Amino acid sequence: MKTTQKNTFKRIVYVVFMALLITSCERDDTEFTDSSQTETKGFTVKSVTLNEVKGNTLIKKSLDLIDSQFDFNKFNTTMASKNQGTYSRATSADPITSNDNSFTILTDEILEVSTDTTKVYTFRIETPTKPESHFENFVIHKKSNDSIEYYIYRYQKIGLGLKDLNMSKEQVSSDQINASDFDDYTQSKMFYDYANNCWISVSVVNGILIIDASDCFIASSGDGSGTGSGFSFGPWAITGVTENDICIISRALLDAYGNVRYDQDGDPMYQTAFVDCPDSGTSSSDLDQDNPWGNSNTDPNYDPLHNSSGGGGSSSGNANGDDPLENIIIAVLPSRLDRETDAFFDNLTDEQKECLNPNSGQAHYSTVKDITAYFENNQATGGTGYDDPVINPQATTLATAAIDAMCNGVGENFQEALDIVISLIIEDEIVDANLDDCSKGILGELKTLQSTDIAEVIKRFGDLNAPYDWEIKTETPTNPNHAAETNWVLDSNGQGTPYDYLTVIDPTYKNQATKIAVARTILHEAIHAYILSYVDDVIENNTDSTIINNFQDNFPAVWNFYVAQENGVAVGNIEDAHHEQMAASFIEIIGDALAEYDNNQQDSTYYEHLAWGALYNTDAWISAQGPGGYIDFNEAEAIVIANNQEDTNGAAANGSPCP
Amino acid sequence: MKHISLFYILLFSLFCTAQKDNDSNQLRENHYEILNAFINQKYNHEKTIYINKNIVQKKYSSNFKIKYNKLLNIYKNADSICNSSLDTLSMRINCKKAYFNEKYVGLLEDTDLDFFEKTSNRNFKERQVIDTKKLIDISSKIINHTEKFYKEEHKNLNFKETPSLKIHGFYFSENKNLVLIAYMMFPLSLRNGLEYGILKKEKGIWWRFIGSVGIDKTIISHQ
Repeated sequence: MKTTQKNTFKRIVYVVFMALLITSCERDDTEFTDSSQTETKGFTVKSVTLNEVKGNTLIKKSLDLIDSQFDFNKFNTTMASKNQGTYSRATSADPITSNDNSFTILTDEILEVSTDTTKVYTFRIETPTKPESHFENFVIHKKSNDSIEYYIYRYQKIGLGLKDLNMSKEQVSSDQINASDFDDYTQSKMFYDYANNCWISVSVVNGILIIDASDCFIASSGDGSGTGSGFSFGPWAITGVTENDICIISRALLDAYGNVRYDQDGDPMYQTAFVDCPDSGTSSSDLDQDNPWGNSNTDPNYDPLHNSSGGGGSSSGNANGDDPLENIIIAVLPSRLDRETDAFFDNLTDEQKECLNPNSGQAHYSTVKDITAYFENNQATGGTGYDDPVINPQATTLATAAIDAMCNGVGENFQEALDIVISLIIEDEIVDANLDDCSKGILGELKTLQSTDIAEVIKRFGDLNAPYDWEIKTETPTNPNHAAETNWVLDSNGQGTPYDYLTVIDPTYKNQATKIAVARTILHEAIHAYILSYVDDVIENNTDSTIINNFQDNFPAVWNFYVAQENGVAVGNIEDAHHEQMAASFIEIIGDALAEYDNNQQDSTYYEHLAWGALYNTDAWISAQGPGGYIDFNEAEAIVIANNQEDTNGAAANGSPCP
Repeated sequence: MKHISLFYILLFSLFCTAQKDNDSNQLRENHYEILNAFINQKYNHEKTIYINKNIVQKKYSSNFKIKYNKLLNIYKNADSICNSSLDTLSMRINCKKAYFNEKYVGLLEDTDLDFFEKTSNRNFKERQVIDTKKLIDISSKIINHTEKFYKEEHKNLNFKETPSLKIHGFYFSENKNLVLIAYMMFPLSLRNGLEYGILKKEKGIWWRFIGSVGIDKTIISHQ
């Protein structure tokens, strides 16, 4: 039985190693030791589920009385947890939102603080009800006279330290509470250990208590159990509880600097033992043979779990008969995402803070909300290490750049500034090292275009997270009669490389054409590459019907060509299909982009005429000239002339040539 | 005179046999041997492959000659740089490129390329059906398409039954020791288009897969 328990435990420890707990840490305010239930100074703190909250007859009665008065909407969300070693979602709990949206109570972290006669349950409020609040808690206080009171506790930051908080209470009418939806919650809590400057997470997974202190800075303070051989042990911690209420305790092996030692497999080294849990009152005589109290070569006879003078005393109640909870505040702290978001704002420079919050407060609060939402939607995914940030580092970089942009008067709000930053920073990912200076300058201007559609086209190749690579260079095309060519980058067998596209622009062409003709050529080739990137999406994700349908819907001409090709009845080639699609869907987009590039110096029709360049033989061109079409003979002639003039820098060209 | 006539008859007969292989839509044992070898060697990394049972022989594409000559040029240039460059990086790239393209050198003569063009100069309308039971060497790898697939293949792309190999023709050299197999492997064919696989008969016994050459024009040009 014990062997099974040990194996189970070892498996858990491999996933989440939790070693050092502050059993001997003394604190004046609230002290947690190494159990889900912490007793100190006459009160007990533990993490509970909502069902347990409702298990209290008096509270339930009170809650039931008001049950019908409020209607709460439940919605699903997930909360970040550290307990799985990565930032995968360990627990899922339904927050509860009142109809008037005054506040939303998160119910995946509930702390119960109790004395013999009173109880306090503390929940975290999702979004503070006051802009000045750093975070807020919802509190149910069952008093000694059995009356129930409800509060919102607001914590306002007054300094950079975690303890630099001002707290204020607002009593909430019991009419505002409906507990009928408080179901199915997973226990977890997190608290800050001031002594070691670290966050400690406590939760229950598969019935086993997990106390996760692995992001703590492990000072050599430990429990004093040095070995005299360059290493020592950290303090004992209860790291699990078996189904038979046997406590599993562990302590980490530390190096001379107080850091956790790792074995050759990269796993943390630790000692472990099974003991009766402290509240059972049994002695340690029946400890497992691995019991570190029995065989340790250090001096560990000090038993933090049974030593009444240690942090985990067994006292309960209050000698004075007062309700200590009147003066004791135990907060449910913000989530890791919230903490990282807070740290982001704390780390802004004074200049950035000043320009975001020019003595009004409101602008700052609005930006904070926007950035917080942005971070929430840009969390690191998959394989994030324990100490890695939960917010995608790229998101924090871009947010900082967007704030700088806002401070320089760019963008009306955070989202606008962010969009501009992305268009400026990210699009530099398009490789143009081998492009001639004139074309490079034109490409640079095209990258900054704000016309939404063309910005989307160009942005596709610049996104740091996207797989698409587009290189554009000045080089003689395969067919010397071509002004430019775009294709996949070909391997030595002439086969296309996925997600790699190359455009070459004929050096002769850029020497003879006007700049606006070169701009049109680059845009035209960008759209070829854009379509190729969607083909790659389909090939590489050929089981994803959304991607396939998206391609079929947006590029029907290309899709139909492929259907014919696969059946051996294709007419023309893929180039024709691209041009059909371009004529059908991209004329206006290219025209608008050219107009913006040229500062609308010409009539908008002129830019649309240029957009038709190289598309004269397409069905779209022919049908546009046919009965009911919008291009008459004169206009068709004007289109051909405009393109010809700009392509050759003719006498009637409106653009200017490259220097 | 009699001997000369016999000689001509023999010569004509040999030519006609080879021509018959190319100007025919009939699948014979030889074709199955080649298919077995091609799929086995080219797609040995694929666990399973759907195979389109219908073959409608297409005429030989003269693009092959262009592409083949391009491969020879790639080899020549790479080999030249490999043997003369002092730049380590350049040597590393080009020596590797030369090594992998050397297999094409001397593989086909102009007469072979002309022979393909001369003897495989029409598209067939009749379809032949591959009997997948004859693909013995690769039977565990091959999956037959569903009836639904064949009903809808002319209307839409089918991404549910992939990868799917479709054969578009066999082109034999005059001495029948070399064959080009025209094929498309969906969905990769969306990128690579029609390809010709080159197989060479070794020691008159087995077919060795040499390499594949893209045939379709994939260059997207401006004007």
